[in-house]
Amino acid sequence: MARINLLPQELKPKGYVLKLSKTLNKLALISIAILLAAAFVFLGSFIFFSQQTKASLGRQESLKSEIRALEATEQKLILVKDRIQKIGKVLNVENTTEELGVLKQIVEILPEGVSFNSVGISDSSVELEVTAPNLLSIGQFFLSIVNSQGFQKVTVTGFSYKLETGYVVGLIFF
Amino acid sequence: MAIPVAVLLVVAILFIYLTKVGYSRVTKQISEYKLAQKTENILSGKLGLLKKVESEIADDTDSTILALPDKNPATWSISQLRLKSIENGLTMDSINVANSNSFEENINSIAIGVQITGQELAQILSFLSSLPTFAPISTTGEIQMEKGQDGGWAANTEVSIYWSKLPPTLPAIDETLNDLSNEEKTVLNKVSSLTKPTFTVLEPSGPKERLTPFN
Repeated sequence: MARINLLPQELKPKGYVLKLSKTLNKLALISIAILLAAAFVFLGSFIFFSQQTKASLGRQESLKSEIRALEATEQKLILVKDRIQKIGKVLNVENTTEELGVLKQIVEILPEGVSFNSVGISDSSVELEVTAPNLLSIGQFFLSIVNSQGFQKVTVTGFSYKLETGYVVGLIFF
Repeated sequence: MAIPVAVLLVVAILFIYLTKVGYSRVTKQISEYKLAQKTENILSGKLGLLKKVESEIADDTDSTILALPDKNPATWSISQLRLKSIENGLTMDSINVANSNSFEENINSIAIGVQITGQELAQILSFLSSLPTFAPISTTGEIQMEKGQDGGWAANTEVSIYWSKLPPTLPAIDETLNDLSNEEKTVLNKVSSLTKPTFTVLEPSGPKERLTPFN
């Protein structure tokens, strides 16, 4: 049967309006599809990370219970680290250990005939008084000090002669 | 034509809302996941470390607690000083224990004045050299040595000893726990080689028959 259009031709919509209408319909469908896709992506991501977080929290609880079982070991390790940290501070205190080493060096180079009268050791120097029977021994001692090159600075604090003991020399080694 | 325009408008509004809300929720969930992962790694590392050190930590604990006790170790130190003086053929003329003072926050110290005499300077030097080799750790202050009329030597010095209270609490379970660093291991090796004080354990004597208790 032939199609009969009873509407007058003047009321027929224009070509561009029909085109626009079709375009808008397409756009509407596409935008709905994009909206649904975006919603799916967001929801999927949320559910995925939520599940992963839950699984991680479960594993954490298991690890925590194993760690609690080793609490004694943890206490000992914390104690050891605490002690070592404090022992390190004490060992850094200035003391006379190094100067004792300097005194031992001096003892090694002390020539025959020269002997100590007194020794004083502080955390920065070694102060001593030696006795020698003659100037030759004193000279040998001074030469040994110079040749050893193991002392930063040596100061003569006194030089005297006593009939009973001989030459008495005071020295400070830094 | 009005319907597709309305649909486009509604979709645009929904899209803006979805992006705003959805994005913030997803990023928040991702942050929570990353935090959970980080905590899990910390716990896993901690557990691995504790399992690794479990067998050897007991000896290390003993060495360090003897080197820096939690209570005043004056009696241990005096015992060690007397032992070392005897080993070097010296006579300990006097020992004076001063009042304790605070060396640093959480570390206390006390000074022990020591006077010793011996025939040879070498004996005194040997004694003084041995002071840093025994536990508890100590530091030596100024030393004065004088030659006596009889040719013997007298020395006096001040030996400072230290102690510190034990840590009161454990850190939180999810806090990182690291193994000993190389510097810490060096200190530990040094501490492990110190001569430890000798402890005598007195056993209670059991009942026994005594025929004449008045004699």
